[in-house]
Amino acid sequence: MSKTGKYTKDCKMQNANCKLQIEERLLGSREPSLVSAQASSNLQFAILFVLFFSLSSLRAQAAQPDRPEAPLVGRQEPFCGAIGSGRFKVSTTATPTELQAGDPIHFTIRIESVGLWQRAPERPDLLRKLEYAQFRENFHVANDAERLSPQQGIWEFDFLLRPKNERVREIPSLFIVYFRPGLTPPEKGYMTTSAPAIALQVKARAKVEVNEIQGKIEPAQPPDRLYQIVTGPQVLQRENGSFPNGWLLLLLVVVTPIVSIGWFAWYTRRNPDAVRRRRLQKNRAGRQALQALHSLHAAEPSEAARRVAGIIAGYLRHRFNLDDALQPAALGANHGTDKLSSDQRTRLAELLENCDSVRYAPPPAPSHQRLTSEATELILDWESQP
Amino acid sequence: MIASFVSLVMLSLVVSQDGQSESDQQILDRAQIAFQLGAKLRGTPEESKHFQLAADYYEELCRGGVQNPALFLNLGNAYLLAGDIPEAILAYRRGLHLNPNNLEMRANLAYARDQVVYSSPDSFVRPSESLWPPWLPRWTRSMSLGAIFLFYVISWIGLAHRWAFRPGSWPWLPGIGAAGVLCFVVIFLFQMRAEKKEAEYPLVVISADQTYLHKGNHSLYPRAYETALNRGAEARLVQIRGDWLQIELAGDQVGWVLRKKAIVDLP
Repeated sequence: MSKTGKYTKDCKMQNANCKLQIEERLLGSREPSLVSAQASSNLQFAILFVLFFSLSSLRAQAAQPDRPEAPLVGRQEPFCGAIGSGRFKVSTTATPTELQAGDPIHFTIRIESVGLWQRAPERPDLLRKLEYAQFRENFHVANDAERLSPQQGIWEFDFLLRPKNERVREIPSLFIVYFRPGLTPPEKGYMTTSAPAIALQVKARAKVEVNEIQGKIEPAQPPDRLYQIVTGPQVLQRENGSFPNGWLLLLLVVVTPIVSIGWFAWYTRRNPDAVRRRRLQKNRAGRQALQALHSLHAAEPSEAARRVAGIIAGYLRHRFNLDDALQPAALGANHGTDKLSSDQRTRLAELLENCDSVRYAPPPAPSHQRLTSEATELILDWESQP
Repeated sequence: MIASFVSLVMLSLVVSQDGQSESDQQILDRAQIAFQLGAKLRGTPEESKHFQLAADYYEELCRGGVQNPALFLNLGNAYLLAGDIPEAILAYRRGLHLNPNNLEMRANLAYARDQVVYSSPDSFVRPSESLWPPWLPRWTRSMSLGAIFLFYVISWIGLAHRWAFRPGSWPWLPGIGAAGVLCFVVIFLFQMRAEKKEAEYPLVVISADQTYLHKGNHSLYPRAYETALNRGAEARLVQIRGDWLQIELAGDQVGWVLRKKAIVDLP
């Protein structure tokens, strides 16, 4: 036999032994003494189980009279929770019955069991139940103490009622509903009992005078600033809250431009040069020419003379819309300068000659300051023309 | 006590000058004496009588044509200390109409409004809260007029400067002046419109507690609202028909009240 075949045979034997052991555990030993012992233990367990459930059911049956349930179907309101094979009586008392509106009334509801009862009544819910809305309409209701005597079958519930006004005439009749089991159908067991209304005499609340207030109640004091008044002639001023006089407004509207124009006229009379300069500033060509002349003070005399001639030529071209190709020499030769007066033409010619003389003079060259001032004067003359 | 006695004697002396046409100054003196007497009796039940007397004298001055914020402040204080909240509110509102920047009067008006019992916890009847910061002066029509004139002058100065000097100097000045004039003219027109509306719908102050608005000008008409108005509630007058006033509350609720249950700010 090979080694592998022996190993397989051993495994099969082990499996068979295991199965046998499991069967023995499950079914018990096949020996008669062991079987009888197992059966007795099972019987004991069953007896204990039956005893436990019997006791539980007995206990439940014993407790059932304390917690009987009224059927929900067909329940009538205001159900107070009382259940009994006998009947329940309800009565009410109130003290005092003569009072002012707002004063408290000690109102007691007494529920008494006549005969056997299974479940005690609960406090009638005057605060929430719809059937007791009449209480809440006429009174401020608050729960108070309660006295329970189940052995005597008496339950008393106290309330504090405060009439809302003097029109309240009575504490309304109080109804409660309890349940009597054993009737068929069960909802027939709901019984209603009531206590009569209690007449009241409610007076209007007396007005409390200031001197009747007891205790230290500090009234709200007005602030000190209310006790201060304005004095002096300002109290007698007559203001109507309207605008200033219309004529005054008109005067202000007219005076302002008159003052502005008057000041301008005075200024032009006092400063004619300034006015000329202002007019000159309107002419863009003249302004640019003057600025260019002003910038020549640091230039070389020959270069300055050349530029003065060019500035004058450029100004005249822009001022009188002359041909751009027209050279300064041609301007001096009276080409296209008929809009100038004879004096201006002469001055222009002289200025251009002087420019040439300064430009081509042997060194040291004469100063060009006179040229720029003459050119400035010439431009100002032309600009002052209308 | 001695001071009270002396004041009372002075008051009686002033009052005894009967039959003469009293000047405004004499009436003012009486009012001030009555007020000071009430202030001396502060905390006693008698104080309100003197404050009411002072208020009567101040009212007499008002009827005589004297109108200024100081007088309305005194009148409001006297009414408030006499317990007449509606008249106090009306006096303060009149004074604030003349000078909206009187902070003391505004504070007293707020105190008077705090004394009003509102039947509803919501915003029914309550005057709307002003969003204007209390530290910022309120812009009045006079201020608008002054600003218009200021910018008008600025624009003319700018023009004169432009004429006299070179065109490039201060070119923005006339523009700013014109823009300012335009802006404040618009503001002024809005203020005039509000003023006109205020004049068309004068102030009404409820003077009786538990006053209900009705849907018509008769008590047989049903109530317009189940919330009652109490003394000091403010509204605007829409129209008068017989003994009934149609008023509009701050929340745009409209209804009718008996004329005797309200005071109207009519000239």
